[in-house]
This record gives sequence, structure tokens and C-alpha cells, in this order.
Amino acid sequence: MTTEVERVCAGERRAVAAALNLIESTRGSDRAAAEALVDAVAGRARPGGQVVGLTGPPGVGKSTLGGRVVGEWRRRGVTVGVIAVDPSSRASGGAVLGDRSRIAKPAGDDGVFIRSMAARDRLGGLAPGTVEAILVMRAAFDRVLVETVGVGQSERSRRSW
Amino acid sequence: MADTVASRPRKKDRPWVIRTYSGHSSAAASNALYRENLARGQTGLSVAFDLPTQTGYDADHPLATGEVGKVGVPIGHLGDMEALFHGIPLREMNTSMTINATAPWLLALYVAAAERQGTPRAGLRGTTQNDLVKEFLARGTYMLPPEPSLKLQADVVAFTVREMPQWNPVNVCSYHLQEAGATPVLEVSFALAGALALLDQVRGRADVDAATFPEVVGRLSFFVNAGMRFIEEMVKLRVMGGLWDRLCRERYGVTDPKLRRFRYGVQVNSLGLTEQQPENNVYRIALEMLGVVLSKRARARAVQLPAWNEALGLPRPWDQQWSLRLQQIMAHETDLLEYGDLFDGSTVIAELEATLAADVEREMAWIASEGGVVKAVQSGAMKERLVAANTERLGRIERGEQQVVGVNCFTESAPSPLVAGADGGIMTVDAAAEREQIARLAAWRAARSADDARAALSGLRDAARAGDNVMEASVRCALTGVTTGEWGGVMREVFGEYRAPTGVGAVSGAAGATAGLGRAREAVERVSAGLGRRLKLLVGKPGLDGHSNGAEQIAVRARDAGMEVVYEGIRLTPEQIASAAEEEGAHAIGLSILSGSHLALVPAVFAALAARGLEGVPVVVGGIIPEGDRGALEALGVARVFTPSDFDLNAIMVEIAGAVARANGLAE
Ligand code: B12
Ligand SMILES: Nc1nc2c(ncn2[C@@H]2O[C@H](COP(=O)(O)OP(=O)(O)O)[C@@H](O)[C@H]2O)c(=O)[nH]1
Ligand SMILES: [Mg+2]
Repeated sequence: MTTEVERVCAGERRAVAAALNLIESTRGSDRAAAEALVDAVAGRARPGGQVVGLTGPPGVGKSTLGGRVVGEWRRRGVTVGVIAVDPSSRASGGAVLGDRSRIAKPAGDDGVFIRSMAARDRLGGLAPGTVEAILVMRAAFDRVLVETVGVGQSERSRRSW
Repeated sequence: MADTVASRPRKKDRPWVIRTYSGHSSAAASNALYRENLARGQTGLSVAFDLPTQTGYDADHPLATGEVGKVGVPIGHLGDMEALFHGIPLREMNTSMTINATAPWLLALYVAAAERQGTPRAGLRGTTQNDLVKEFLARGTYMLPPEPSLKLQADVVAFTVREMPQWNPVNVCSYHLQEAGATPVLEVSFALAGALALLDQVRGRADVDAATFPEVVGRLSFFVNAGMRFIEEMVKLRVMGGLWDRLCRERYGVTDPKLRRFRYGVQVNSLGLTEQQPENNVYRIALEMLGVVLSKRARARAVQLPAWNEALGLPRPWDQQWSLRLQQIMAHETDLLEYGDLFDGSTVIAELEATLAADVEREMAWIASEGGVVKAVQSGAMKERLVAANTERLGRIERGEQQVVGVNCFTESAPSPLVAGADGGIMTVDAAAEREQIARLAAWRAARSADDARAALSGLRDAARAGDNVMEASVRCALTGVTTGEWGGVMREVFGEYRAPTGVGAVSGAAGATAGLGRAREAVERVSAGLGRRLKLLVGKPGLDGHSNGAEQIAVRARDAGMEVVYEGIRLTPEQIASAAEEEGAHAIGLSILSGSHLALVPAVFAALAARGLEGVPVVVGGIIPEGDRGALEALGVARVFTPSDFDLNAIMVEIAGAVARANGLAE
């Protein structure tokens, strides 16, 4: 566990991905490990680190603005973690997660790490596990950007699926 | 016996221009092909470019890997353009070029090549497709954001109006919209709206004066589609003609009826051509053609036909000849061209026309209410409509509501001798073509004056930055040996790169779901429970391939089946796909490749995944994968290969869930 935490805090991509998978896991046997991990990284935010949230109704330009901000951060040499939350279908539980495409990631740049999360059965707002994911990313990267549709907002032309 | 109608000599109308869309491997190989086609009685040239040329990359760019010379001819510089038309007098040719984002550049190369052949630009006849709106919505070879794209499109218009009186600067395309799933209403309204957006843009330009504007309107031609419902398609063309005439008159005040004429070329529908019992496609193509030749008032000016093996791979010269002969038989053996319009006065047709025209106007009003074409492209609103229409179309076929012979009915068949040969009935481009093209490019760069090329490029950059017409600067670039990638590089530098909305987010086919969807959902739920996390599928399109229909429909159905789907759209490098798979914690990766570059790109994706320690993630591949290549992909470790015959999307979902279960040691 401790080496996992150290790898996350060193910004190792595979460790970050594994930590996020663990956080999202609903398997009983994973819950304790997930909680321990979150507790361990919670106090390990990067010095001078920041978490920035972008929220608002669909189509207002969150991803576009976020993409520009990420680009500027990268130009200044800081590493960035992005969490993009998209709503889920209420009928099937599935989701199309497409926001990462709006963040222009320079080819071969491993200094940006984008994770999409489905809002599952919650309408708008945060996905389950978003807060924990922020804690992981805050330990792994200099800046964290979170994009979500605001609570109570619904997607443009959203059908009743 | 009384004199029959047939025995009386009648005056025949002149047939349409008969063309074949072709080009592959290299300029020299395509030149040989064109000369052969001209010798067989083809009356115009229609050039297919490869994807790097269409998207402004040199053959040695990483994104060009596997795509050079595959689906068209690679034109990297003036030397290639000259080789393409070697021994073909451009003065006498009518050349149609399917080129869009890089249209200013390819036209500049054509002008430069002609001038070196001794033909002044004013003497050139032909067409640049140069329609950017449909690239964002359906075709996918855009480079720049919508606004600068429309500006460059207008540059070509302004330049040709002044310098090339016999050139059609824009072919407004509805063709590709139908191939992306559009119904007739969507096809007509989206295309007309795109044409108006362009004309509005041109009208506002300083270098096009009000007096010549009607002539600009008159220069616009169209490129349409015609599918199996050929009566409806014929009605569509009659309606388009009428609406165009009215829009030109009312919106732009064009008084000369000649300048309001709806001139169009056609490629008939290919989306409905099947992999199963492919010989039946010959009938389909013949019937589709009726829609655009039967009615004299709405007859096509030029026709290109696909071949029987459309859904298998690229046509061989003989396959193209077979389709060419269909046109010639229609034009020369039948009495089609002897009569006036057969449908004027028909009440059935008039009623269909009125209904369609009203629907189109409603749809165009909707686009206006979304803020116009540019806004509705940027927001994804128009793209969503196309994806949804395609979802509906495929759903009807899956449910058996729309019958397709050989697909969902009459599926029994004896083995087809047409695919029995060693080549599997298709043309395959030699992988050496890419290496040779790269070598020629290196030699070209070494032989030119680097200083002259640099100076010409900086002139281009200045013109682009200043908002001037880029055409003259592009012709100077052509003459100094600038390459396609260098030209595209300057445009990207000045105007920025663009990724269009995918349109899949808000579409669902679940409302009309079949029983199979329930099974797929169960499989996904079971595997997700075992994984502890909802099954996450990354749908990736590596390379320059813009065929998005398959990936979109897979993404929509996977979501409807309960998966979390990450889909970023077209044109990703294998490296981008692998890094997304890592970040997202994807349980499976689905690659969609229709451009014939799978044997280069799938191994590249596997290598990129391995480099990130992701070799355990199952990969499935879909698209135009010739039977003979299946083995190679499976040997590489591909879990499953899907082709157009796999039209049951729910079954595909069950298979993906199964592959994930196996990879994770779970019960299926
Ligand atoms: C529609 C179409 C187009 C449309 C595409 C619209 C769009 N946005 O997708 C338009 C008109 C724009 C187009 C353009 C071109 N096309 Co085209 N096109 C076709 C056509 C007719 C149908 C493809 C299609 O959409 N089918 C419907 C979808 C739903 O089926 P599908 O993609 O096959 O997907 C199914 C399976 O394959 C599988 N699958 C596919 N992907 C995935 C992914 C996953 C994860 C899974 C699980 C399954 C899966 O499941 C799907 C469900 O059944 C094919 C021929 C044919 N009949 O197949 C040619 C074809 C693919 N095109 C071809 C060519 C050459 C072009 C051009 C490159 C021509 C040129 N030189 O400019 C251009 C350029 C496009 C570009 N930017 O890359 C060639 C490719 C040749 C080759 N591979 O060797 C083909 C085969 C025609 C031919 N015989 O020449 N095209
Ligand atoms: N004109 C203009 N358009 C914008 C701006 N920001 C975003 N857009 C466009 O608005 C649309 C939605 O943007 P997006 O960032 O995806 O919005 P999100 O849903 O809030 O993430 C896209 O077509 C953008 O190109 C802006 O500042 N000005
Ligand atoms: Mg967004």
C-alpha cells in the first residue's frame, strides 16, 4: 500500500489509474483498500497545488475554457489532472464520455492526465467517487481541474433515456 | 405492321458526363489508370486523393502512417501533380477533384502544373469539391475550425471567379450527408443551408463586387446522393432544383435564370451496398441510378457509380469498368434520352414534392433557430441529428422493418464465384507505395531551393495572418516546391487545429430496442458486477480515417447496453489511444478502421499499449477488414474482428462483454 501511495504521489500514471479504478470499485473487498488509499493521499496535496472546478449548464464552454487553461498550465511546466463528469443514462446505467476530446493534449505529453467519470444515478453534480478522485489527483499533479454540469442542470436536448 | 415507336429515328439528348472516381498508390500509377479510363470512353476525370493529402500532411508525418496512397493518390508537391497528368493535356480535360480542406493548395498545384504545360489558368475546366460544412458533419477531412475553413473556401471562390472563368469552385455536397445517415429531408436542408452560409460569406467580401455576385451564385454546383427509394430520390432532386432557384432569386436577387440553375453531379448511395451476396449490389446501383436520370428536368450533369464490391474493399480496374458500362448502357442502349420530362403533370409526384419541400423549409428554419450553420456545427446540433437518423436506419434493419436482401431476409446463398479469386475480389495497395512516396518526398525536398520555399511559405503565412486571399501565395508556394504538409502546417499554425463534436452524447436507440438489447444489458451488468466497476469501453479511431458511422453507432449502442463509453472522435494516433486507455482505466478497446490501414495501425496500437503495460486489455477491431487479413489481426492478439456483415449490434455488445470477462477471469 505505501509504495502505491508513493507512486501516486510521484505522479506515476499507472499508479494513478489503478488508484482511480480502486476508488470506483463497488466490490466489497476493494472498499477498505480504497478508503485506506484515500486517507493516505488526503494529506499529500502538492505544495502550492490547486483544484479548480468548472460548473455550469451544458454548452456554456466549460470544456473549451478548461482546455485553454490546461494548455497554459502546461506551457508553464506544471502537471495537470482533469476529471470530467458526464451524466449517465437512467435507463441503462451506461454513459458516453466525450469531454476529454475538447482538451487538446499535445502529442506525447504525459503531463496531462484526463479521467472521465459517469455521474451514475445522480443527476448532474458530482459522480460518486469524484471527491476521492480529486484527492488522488491532487497528490499526483500540480493542478486539478474538475468539470461537471451543475446540480439541477440537464443536458441540452437530453432525451428520456 | 404499323410503325413502332422504336423504329422512328429520334433526336437524343446529350448524355451526362461519365466518370469514375479513382486514384491510388502513386501519381504515376494513377496517371496510367486515368489514361486507361479515358481510352475506355470515360469523358472526364475524377481524382481521389489519399487521406494525408486531404488533411494537409506529408507522407512522412506520424499520422500518415499506413494511409499513404491507400484510398487515393498522394500529391505531396508540384512534381506529383505533374506526374499525375503526364501526357494528359489539361487544356482538354474536365477534372473533378474531391478535395476540401486543402482545396486552395491542390488548386494552386493544378494551376502551376497547367501553366508549366503551357495552359493558362483561364483555360482550365473542372471542379474542386471545396465544401467544408459537410466535412464537419459527415466526411471528416477538415483541418481548421469552421470559421477559417469557410474563409479559405471563399478564397477559392473569389480567386476562380476572377481568374478561372470555366472552373466550378465549389461542389455543395449532400452526398456525404446521406452516407452518414441523413434522410432526404436532412440531406436537402443541411446541404442548402451550407450553400447559403458560403454565399453569405462570399457576399460580404471586399474582393467580390456586387456586380459579379450573381455569377458567383451561378458557379455553385452540387454533388448529391441517390439511394434505393428511387422515386423519392427523383422527387428530392426536383425539389432541390426548385428550392435552389427560389433561394437564389429571393435571397440573392439573381435575375438571370441560367445563373439559378441547379447543376448537380451524383455518386449513388454506397451505404446500403452490402458485404453479403455482394453481386446484388449491381442491381442496387442500376436502380439507384434511375433516380437521377429518369426525370429530364432533374437529370444529373455527371454520374459516378460505385462497384459491386463496395463493402469489401477498393475496386479493381475491371470492377470500375463494369460500373462504367452500366452508365454507357443506360445512356446509349435505352430510349431514356429521347423524351421530354416524363413526370411533369403527375399528381403523385407533385404531392410528394410539396410534402418534401415543406419539410425541408421547416428543417432549414430549425438550423436558423440554432444560430445558423456555423453555430449548429460547433454545438454539434446538426451532427446529432445525423447520428440519430443513422441510429434509426440501422434499428429498422436490425428489427427487420426495413428489408435488405441478403442481410435480414433471403440470406441463403451459394458461394459467390466473384470473391473466389486469390485477390478476394478487391484491389489491395502495395505497402511499398508508402515507402516509395516518402523516398520521393525526401528527394524532392533535397532538390529544391530551401530558401525559395521558405520565402514562399512566409509569404503564405503573411497573407493568411492578414486575412488576404491565400490563393496567389499558394501558387507561388507550389512553384517553389513547397510540400502539402508545409502548406497545411502554415494553415494550422495561423488558424489552429479543430476537433468536431461527435454527436453521440445525446443520441439513443433504446426507444425502439429489440429483444436483443435486454440480453446485451444482462451480459454487461453481469460482467460489470464481476469487475466491481461498470464496464468501460474505449472506442478509438486511429489514423486519418474519417469513417465515423460505425464507431458512432457502436458507441451509442454500447451506452444503451449499459457500458461507459469513451469516444473522442476521428483521427487519433495509436499513442493517443493507448494513453487514453490508461487514463480511463478502460476494460476493452474497440478500434474502428475502414480506410484499409488496419495492418499498419492495429500493430501500432498494440505496441503503444504494451509500452504502457496494458497488454491485458482486450482489443476488438471493426470496419472494412478483408477476409484475408483476419488471421493476421487475430495472430496479433485481436479478440474479435467485426465487419459490415455483423449488423446485429446487440450481439456485438454481448461479444465485447464476453471478451472482457475472459480477459478478467470472470464467468461470461
Ligand atoms: C459511408 C461511407 C462513407 C461516408 C462516411 C460517413 C461517415 N461519417 O462515416 C463518406 C461518404 C464520407 C465516405 C468517404 C470516403 N470513403 Co467511404 N465508405 C462508406 C461506406 C459506403 C459505408 C461505411 C459505413 O458507414 N457503413 C455503416 C457502418 C455502420 O458500418 P461499419 O462502419 O462497417 O461498422 C460495422 C462493422 O464494420 C463493425 N464495426 C465498425 N467499427 C467498429 C468498431 C467497434 C469497436 C466494433 C465493436 C465494431 C465495429 O460494426 C458495425 C456494425 O455493423 C463504405 C463501403 C461499405 N458499404 O461498407 C465506404 C468505404 C469504407 N469508403 C472508402 C473510401 C475510399 C472513402 C474515401 C477515403 C474516398 C476518398 N478517397 O476520398 C472517403 C474519405 C473519408 C475519410 N475522411 O476518411 C472505401 C475504403 C477502401 C478500403 N478500406 O480499402 C470503402 C470500403 C468503399 C470502397 N469500396 O472503396 N465514405
Ligand atoms: N463563440 C464562443 N464559442 C464558444 C466559447 N467557448 C466555447 N464555445 C463553443 O461552445 C460550444 C460548447 O462548448 P463546450 O466547451 O463543449 O461546453 P461545455 O458543455 O460547457 O463543456 C462549442 O461549440 C464551443 O466551440 C467562447 O468563448 N466563444
Ligand atoms: Mg464539456
